[in-house]
Amino acid sequence: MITEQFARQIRRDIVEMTHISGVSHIGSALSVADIIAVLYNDVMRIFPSDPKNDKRDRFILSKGHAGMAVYAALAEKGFFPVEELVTQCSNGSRLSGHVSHKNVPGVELSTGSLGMGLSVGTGMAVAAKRDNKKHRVYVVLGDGECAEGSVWEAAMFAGHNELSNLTAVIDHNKLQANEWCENVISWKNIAKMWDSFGWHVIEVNGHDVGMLKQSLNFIHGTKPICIIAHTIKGKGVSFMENEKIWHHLSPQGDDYVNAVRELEANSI
Amino acid sequence: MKKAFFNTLYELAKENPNLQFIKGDTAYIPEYQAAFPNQYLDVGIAEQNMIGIAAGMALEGKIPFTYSIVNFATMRCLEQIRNDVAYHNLNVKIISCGVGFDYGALGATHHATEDLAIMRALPNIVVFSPCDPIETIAVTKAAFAFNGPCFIRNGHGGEPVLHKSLLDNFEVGKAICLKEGGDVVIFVTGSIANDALQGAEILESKKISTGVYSFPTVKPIDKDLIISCAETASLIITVEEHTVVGGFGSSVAEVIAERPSCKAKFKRVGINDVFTSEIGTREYQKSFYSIDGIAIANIALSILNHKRR
Repeated sequence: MITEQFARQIRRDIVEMTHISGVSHIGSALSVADIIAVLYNDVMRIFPSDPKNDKRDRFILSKGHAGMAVYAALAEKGFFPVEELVTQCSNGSRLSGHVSHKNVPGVELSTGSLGMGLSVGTGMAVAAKRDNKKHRVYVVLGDGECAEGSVWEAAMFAGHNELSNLTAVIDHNKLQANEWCENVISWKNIAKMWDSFGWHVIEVNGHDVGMLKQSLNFIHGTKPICIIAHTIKGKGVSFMENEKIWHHLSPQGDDYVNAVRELEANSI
Repeated sequence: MKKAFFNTLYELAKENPNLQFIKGDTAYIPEYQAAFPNQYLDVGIAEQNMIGIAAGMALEGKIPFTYSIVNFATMRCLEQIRNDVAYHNLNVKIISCGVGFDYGALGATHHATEDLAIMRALPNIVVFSPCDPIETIAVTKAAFAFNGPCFIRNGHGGEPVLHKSLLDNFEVGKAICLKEGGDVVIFVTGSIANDALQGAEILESKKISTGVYSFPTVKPIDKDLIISCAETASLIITVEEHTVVGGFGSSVAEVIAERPSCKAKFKRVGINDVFTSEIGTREYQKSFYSIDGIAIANIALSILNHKRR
């Protein structure tokens, strides 16, 4: 499957999951969908029928509330049945609203409390270096999440220790739960911040599959990589794009019909 | 007890290259660092990152031992301990230094007085609280042998040896008798066990038979011993260098309260739900907050006298 098509299928799954569960964070999941699609389709070494294979690349979604995008990618890649996606958040389901490792093949770490994923990825990267293993560790964070101090503890450590096997991706959609990030905590220059912590920074359009692929495959000799992916919250469904309300809402009625129509009209 | 821990750590690191010692600035151990450079990591003053890194390494099959002063090792990074380590049931050993008033003169920020209550509330974690260097050796080895998260509340140093020999048959979750006796039974955790023994001697001098049991494991708690003592003794006293809210004494109380056959009177001795803002040595603090040997004996006597009246 070409990556654009894979990303569109992830978005279609996300709309279906939120529609059925009534639980949201749809804007965040749509925002990160292209990043997840490129990682799982083009970049990471994955083993759907042997999820714990030691040669796999490691992936952590630190912004755990966008877990639907990861569940969709895993299911579409065959880690578990696609039919299971619609059980998300329902009684007895193994797919919780925030991404869960518990009995879910392919998920390394449960997250949901923001600011914690990068440290765990950092520990994985240290372990890999010490054992001379060649896989990479990818961690995806939100931009609002970067207000958590623990993110910068990990950033400092990874830069200082030259963890060149670690890539962080900032899903920089400029919106947090209820407000534009710059109205809450203004970054001034988020790229410079990561650069000053010792990371090699690449800024890309987070919906440009080709650019994402190139940057996610980039390796620096001594530095960890930070990709600032400029994205649009709600990307792919026009009336959700850049609209704060779609952090919390789930598509029902005409909204659902229109979202599906848009995604299916654009399919290749 | 600090020395006992590091000597044991050194032996375990030699035995298993997967052991990783991760410290948050505290602990000066150049010999270990030189001997095991690939099993040593200083993350700096960043405890949240320390626990997250330990979780990541444990996910990769390592056996991380994290290290800092009690409050920093547990509370600053509590959510990382809860979500990353405990929820994922990872093989991380959280080692902490400075029990209760070990840092007595340094102020309330450094007094470790709530950690047992907090840590024992978390599922999956085994909570160790050794009473002397011999128990430190035993719990460190037991934590290493156990495949899952553990917390060790270790003393800062200079504690007397209370056990007569090494605890080769140490069992997780089992209390150990320090002194036989049956009318009053003192359950104690941590190096304040020495005060419990002093209190017991005072009671013995007044012809009151007093037993003392050390609880190097606070979770899981030794229910069988608690029940059997509480069914036969007149008075059970718990002693901890920690708040009485939710800690070791509460843990014992929960067992007794759910067993109608437990007829003994019961009293918790510990810090009485206050911030310990008094400044002074550890001995001064224990006396000031009425948890030293004399205070323990007086509390027992007042309950017994009241009972006999």
